[in-house]
Amino acid sequence: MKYLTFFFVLFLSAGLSTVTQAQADAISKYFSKYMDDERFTVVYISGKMFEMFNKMDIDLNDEEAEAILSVVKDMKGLRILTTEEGGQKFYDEALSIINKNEYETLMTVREGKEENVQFLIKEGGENVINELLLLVGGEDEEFVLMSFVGKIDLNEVSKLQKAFDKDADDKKEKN
Amino acid sequence: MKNILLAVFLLSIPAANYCQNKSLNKFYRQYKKGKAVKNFKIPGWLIHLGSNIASKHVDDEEAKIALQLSKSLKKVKLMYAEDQHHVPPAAVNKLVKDLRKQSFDDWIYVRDKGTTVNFIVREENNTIKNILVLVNEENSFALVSIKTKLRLKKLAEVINKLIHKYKMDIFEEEKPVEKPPQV
Repeated sequence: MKYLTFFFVLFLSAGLSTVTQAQADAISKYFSKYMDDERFTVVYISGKMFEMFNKMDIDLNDEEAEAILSVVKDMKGLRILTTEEGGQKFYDEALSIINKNEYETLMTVREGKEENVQFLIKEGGENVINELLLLVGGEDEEFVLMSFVGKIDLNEVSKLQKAFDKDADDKKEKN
Repeated sequence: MKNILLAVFLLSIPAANYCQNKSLNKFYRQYKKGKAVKNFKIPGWLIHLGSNIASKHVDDEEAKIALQLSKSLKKVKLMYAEDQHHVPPAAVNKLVKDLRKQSFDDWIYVRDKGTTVNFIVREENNTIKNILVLVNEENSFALVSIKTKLRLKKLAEVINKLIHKYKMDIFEEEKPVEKPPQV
């Protein structure tokens, strides 16, 4: 009985990891599906580019710039897929492949059928986001899918926000 | 025996480098002499000579700082075809796939309708060894291949100098103008 339970748990966890992997690949598959489609504009910036900034010891001496660098240093990649045709259709298709158990909706904006915007995140632990997805689409609207993959630390994002606010306050004082 | 092994090791270093650029070299040789294809190579010594001369005649401090990077360039190859048929997109795609197997990494890829831009880099031990830019448009193709020994530390130094220069310029612009004393 013990062995049976053990093997059951083993197969279940293998199955779960397959599902997780399949989900992780679902977005990648969606990108791969349309990467060569001429209706789409594709932008891909790999993690190597961000890694380079991490390796270089750049002395920015600027709170905002250093805050931006600390947010992007652990990024694994940025992918953008956009088209001016069939905004609603592609938006619905992209939403249908996203597993809502894996991704959490951060924000939704809807203007009837004209424009839909959704921010979704995939959490990777306390105050860490593994993926940030932006979906835009609607009738007569362009479709945009933007995916930031990496280890986005929300504490660093909060520092970035404070740096921007401080800069805005400094500019107001000067004026 | 040790000396033989050492000699074999030393001789294999350029061969290893050649292997890593094998697909790129093959592609360049295959298409450089095509009709309507323009190509030229700029050796490192010419780049260094040019940048030394330029740095003495250029007044712009930022340009002088940026020219320091040219000392890390070893060779530049350029290829341009006005007609895409002379350099088929399928061949370019194959080149990119082969390069990925040879320690090259895609850094940036952009495709917009009929135009594709690949920015591919080979980096080893915090040193950029090769930079390759491929631009494929409907009616033309361009390739820029730069062989370098650009250490990320050196790149950071140049960037830091540029940032410092930029901040000094802003400081000078924002400095209040001293009014002459009124008599």
